[in-house]
Amino acid sequence: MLTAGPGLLWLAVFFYLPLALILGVSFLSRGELGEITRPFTLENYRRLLGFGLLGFEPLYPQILVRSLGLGLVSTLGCVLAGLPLAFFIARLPPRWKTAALTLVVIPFWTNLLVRTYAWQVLLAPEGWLARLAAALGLVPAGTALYPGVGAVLVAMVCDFLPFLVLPLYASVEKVDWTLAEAAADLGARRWQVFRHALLPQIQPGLAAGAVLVFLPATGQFVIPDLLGGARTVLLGNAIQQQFGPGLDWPFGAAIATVGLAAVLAGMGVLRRLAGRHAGEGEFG
Amino acid sequence: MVAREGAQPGTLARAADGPPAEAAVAVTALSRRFGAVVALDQVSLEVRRGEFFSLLGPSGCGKTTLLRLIAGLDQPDAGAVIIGGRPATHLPPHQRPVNTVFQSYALFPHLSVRDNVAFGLRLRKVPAAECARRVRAVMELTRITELADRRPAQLSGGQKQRVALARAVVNEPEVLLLDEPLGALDAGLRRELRGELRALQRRLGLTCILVTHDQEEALAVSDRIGILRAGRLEQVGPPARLYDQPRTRFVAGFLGACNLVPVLGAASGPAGAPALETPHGAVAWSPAAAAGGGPPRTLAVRPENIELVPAPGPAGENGDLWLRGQVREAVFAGAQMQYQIETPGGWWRVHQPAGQAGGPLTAGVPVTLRVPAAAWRMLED
Repeated sequence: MLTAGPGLLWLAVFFYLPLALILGVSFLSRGELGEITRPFTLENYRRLLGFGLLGFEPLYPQILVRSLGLGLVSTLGCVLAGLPLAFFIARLPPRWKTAALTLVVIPFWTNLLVRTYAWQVLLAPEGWLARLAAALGLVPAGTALYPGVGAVLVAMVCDFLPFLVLPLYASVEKVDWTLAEAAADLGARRWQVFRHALLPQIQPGLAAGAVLVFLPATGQFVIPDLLGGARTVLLGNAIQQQFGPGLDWPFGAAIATVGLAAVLAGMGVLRRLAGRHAGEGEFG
Repeated sequence: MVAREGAQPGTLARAADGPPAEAAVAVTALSRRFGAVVALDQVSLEVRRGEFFSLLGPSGCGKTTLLRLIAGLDQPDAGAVIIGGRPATHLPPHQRPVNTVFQSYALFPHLSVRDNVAFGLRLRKVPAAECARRVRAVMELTRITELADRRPAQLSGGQKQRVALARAVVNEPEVLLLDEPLGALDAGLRRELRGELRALQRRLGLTCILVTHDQEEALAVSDRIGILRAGRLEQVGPPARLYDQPRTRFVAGFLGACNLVPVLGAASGPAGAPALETPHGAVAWSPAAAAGGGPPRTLAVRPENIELVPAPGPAGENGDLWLRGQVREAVFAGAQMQYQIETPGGWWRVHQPAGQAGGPLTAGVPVTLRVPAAAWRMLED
């Protein structure tokens, strides 16, 4: 208890208290000059649901769905890219492992903005990726590969991959490979070996990694802004808009609160999905 | 085929379709190298249907490698594997009609005992009702019924071993592969379980290949044993024959205790009969019986085939060898007394049934050894 004390205090002052403030503010109103005033109201949430001054307009539900969708697809992309990578690294000779893990982490040493602008260069019409795509006949010559959904996803997956690979690798490293042999011996094909013998073993690392990607990916708006074009509004920039230029803190707080709830719900779904993979006696 | 008395009809009895090929497994000139190490060198072997075959040898002799090549968990560098008459050298493990009991058991930790046992049947999409029936029958046979809902982490070593056995047997494999299945258990439990294993094998008519380094275990359960040394099959045969007629020094030394006597050269026995000269005197030898033609380099005598007598008998009679010596060490080993006896020509190990008239000899007592002519075995190197 004594040792938990400082931690709890820290959490209370720097995490729960601000969170409670946000929650509280989200039920207040915006004053003439953008100050936070009474009365207490549910107006912010009504507006969020789409009932504004101009009648029903589901702008914010769309933003929410778009953000969650981006987070989910990015997570999925990271899982698809990270699984083979984690297994590949785990089966390297020991001295190569450290080098490979360092390579995974290196992009973190550069600022996110710099990395994203770098993608603009890479995907620009005169960039070698665009030329390669043109040479393969995928796009007409001289076309930029951004802005677009594809560019956003590529950048998102590359940015968040380390968050998934590191915890996943820790699980893959501990895998008992005789279980894979036992499954094959009992008649499992390659996919079934993975599904029934390996997945249950790496499930904790996979779930942790997926959450670590899903959380920031859902709130991310810099990458979609710079690579998505057309100024897609997402949770992140919607909140920033209200707290910044919009000067409507109560409404921003309401968006933040709903966003947080949605992300927590999404995590619950992820956990449920991951948990079922480790479930007993389930075959498919 | 071994009779399958007592097997419930339709549950574990295999359909006797197809011609009963004599060999359940045949490997020919199988070789496997790991880098510079030759794990298996041109091994050829046939295991008969319904047979309990043991691969015996010290660690690193290649016995587990051979088992893994049969299971398909590893690929040979040369040679062929034939299972049930069909070529299987390049089949992946899931297409081979064999199942393995792993040394570490390799039970799925996230599944209950029942789901572990049902694993193979469910993968092969056996209908649920039949699957449940077969799982129940095998769990009863292996006496793990009351453990059905437990997870592997909640089981003792012996229980895990039973579950691993049930998980393999329920698939009715053509060949059951056992990789040191009892290696992790204590001596008493090991003896009990190997008896159960043998009984189960007889009852279901299973073909088993057991990998073990425990010679006592191999002798106790096997129909035939193959002794592996440094990647080569040294000798194959029924336990009693291997014990009584070891072909090489290695086999003689590995299976039970043995007195090895070097041959110094050829000599002439009484009346000019061919004989071998040893540090203990001349030993009768028939060149016709020698496989290689020349005289053997080593002779062997089992310690229990030597007699201790109070006084020397008439020398030379029936070719028996009489030696005077002194007991240097006497060890009580339950059913027998084990002596180390020093004679002018060298030391001898002699085992005598305990409780003989006159009581056990003690260190320092002078004795006379009689080595019967029939006790000598000629060994290759």
